Amino acid sequence: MNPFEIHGPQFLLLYLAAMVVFGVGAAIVKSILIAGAAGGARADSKNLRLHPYEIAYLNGGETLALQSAVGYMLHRNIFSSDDSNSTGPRRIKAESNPHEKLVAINEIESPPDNTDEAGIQIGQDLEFRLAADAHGRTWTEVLGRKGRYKDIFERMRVRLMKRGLIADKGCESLCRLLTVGAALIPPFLLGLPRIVETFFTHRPVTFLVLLVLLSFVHAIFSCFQGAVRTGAGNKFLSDLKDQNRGLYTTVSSGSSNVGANDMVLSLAVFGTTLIMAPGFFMFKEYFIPPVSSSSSGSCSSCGSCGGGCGGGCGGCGG
Amino acid sequence: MKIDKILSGCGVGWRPQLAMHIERRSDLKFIEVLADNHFMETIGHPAIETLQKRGIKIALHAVGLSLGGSSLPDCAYIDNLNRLIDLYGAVCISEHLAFVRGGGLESGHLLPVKRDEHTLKVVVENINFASQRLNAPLVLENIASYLTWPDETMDEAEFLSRVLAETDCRLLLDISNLYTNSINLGFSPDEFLDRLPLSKVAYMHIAGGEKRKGIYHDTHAHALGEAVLDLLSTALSKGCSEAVLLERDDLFPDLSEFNQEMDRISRALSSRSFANV
Repeated sequence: MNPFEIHGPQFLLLYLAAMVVFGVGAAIVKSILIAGAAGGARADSKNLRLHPYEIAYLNGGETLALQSAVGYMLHRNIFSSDDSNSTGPRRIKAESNPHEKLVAINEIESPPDNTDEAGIQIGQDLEFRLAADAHGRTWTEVLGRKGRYKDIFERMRVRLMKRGLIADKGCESLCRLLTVGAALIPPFLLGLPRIVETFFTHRPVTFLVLLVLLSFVHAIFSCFQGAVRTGAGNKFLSDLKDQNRGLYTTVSSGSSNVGANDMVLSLAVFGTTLIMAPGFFMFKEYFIPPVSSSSSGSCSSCGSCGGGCGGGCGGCGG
Repeated sequence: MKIDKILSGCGVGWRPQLAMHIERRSDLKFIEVLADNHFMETIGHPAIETLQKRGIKIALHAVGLSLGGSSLPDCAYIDNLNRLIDLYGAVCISEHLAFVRGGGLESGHLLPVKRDEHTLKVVVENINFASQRLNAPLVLENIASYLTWPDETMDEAEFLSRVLAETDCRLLLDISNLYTNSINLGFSPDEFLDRLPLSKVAYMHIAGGEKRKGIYHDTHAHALGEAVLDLLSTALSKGCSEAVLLERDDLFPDLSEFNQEMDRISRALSSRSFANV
């Protein structure tokens, strides 16, 4: 049966079915490739000793790793969010000598728990690089300069790969190719020929055009897909989430009794959705600029009221 | 199984602001969940369920039964407590020996009952009504009070002992409340302990407080004082339950201060165990 003899909603259904079939097929092949590449490596979450920035890289790629590091600097008051422009994007205002402050912090305070020496070094390198580079920049500008941190991200990638948490580069490229291919087959096989055909038949194809555009957008995003997590990597992250439910709860409550290392760990493990939690109000202003100065004020008050709901029997004789 | 056999060791009153601290405390044996803060939940809180998976026991704590009130406890409130008891598999439910409403008004505060024969009868009736309907054993807590009613015929130790004798309930001995009352109302906490049936103590509460203008306030917002810890040791040496729970409801500490507090409780419990060897 010739698919081009089908018209109207039936053709759209056929196109959708093709998207699903190729998508699922690619996912199955990818999972087989990743399983082979991981070589059966098992990730024992207690012994991996990763820095929170590395966990962030595993969870959300370079963007989340960079966001965690900026979040740490904001929490430590090495950076502050410049509020001189109340409506536009906020810019980082670095301490007059951020490196000195970082050195002082590293000398006095303990490094993140359960992190090995190499992980600590990677974390410090990222912080020092940021301290030199981020002053006066908005979050979008910092992200746009990700390339300046490439060598540090590469060290993270190699460590995660050696631990079997992400696939190697060859496997990663193959997975990316598969995803892009699976996204592009339906438009090239069905969508575009049908759209060209309508130049002569003048049939309406608005929905098909939208679906084809969706396929292209998917393909473009897949090109920029970061590291590919293995099964062990997924399990490691899932275990970390289970082990840190309390951390998530405390950070979400807006409590101010969480240290910088734990704050960053929560961001690394639970991702950017946590930025909206009251505990992150000082990060949020930088990463998600306020629409107007009045909305920023109301957010701050949310932050403070989160802390007072602990219990009703404190001062009443409970 | 008796509650005093179920609960032992160190415990903490679970609050969202302390969830991380609690999660990282490996020697924790039980937590207390403030029921009134969880009535909206239809599924268990993930952070609490993670603790349950580690074998940490859950006790529920309520503030709204109003066992010292002139009317019987609210059945809808009891139903809500039962729902949470089942949801969390709570080993017991504790409530204060106090009243919080009367004449259709909510006090928003735990108020002391008048200690006389008439009130005793009412309180016992309320407790029996509630405990018959609750799905877990009911444990009664002594409160901190800054006043006493005129014409009382019993002091707190006698009243508590009579209530425990006339019901099947056990006692949640709040060491800080006892200390607060002893300072503000002027009596010896040692003698008070001697007059209580200490074998009926299921577990103990301990919390920080501070003195303001000559009155000691049980704030649950300050570090544990030496005097309160000494009283805990005294209670332990007299044979009270070896289950002690830290309460903190405001000015939440960071992880290291929290661990110091827990270590102090742990040391008090260890020295008691050592003394028993």
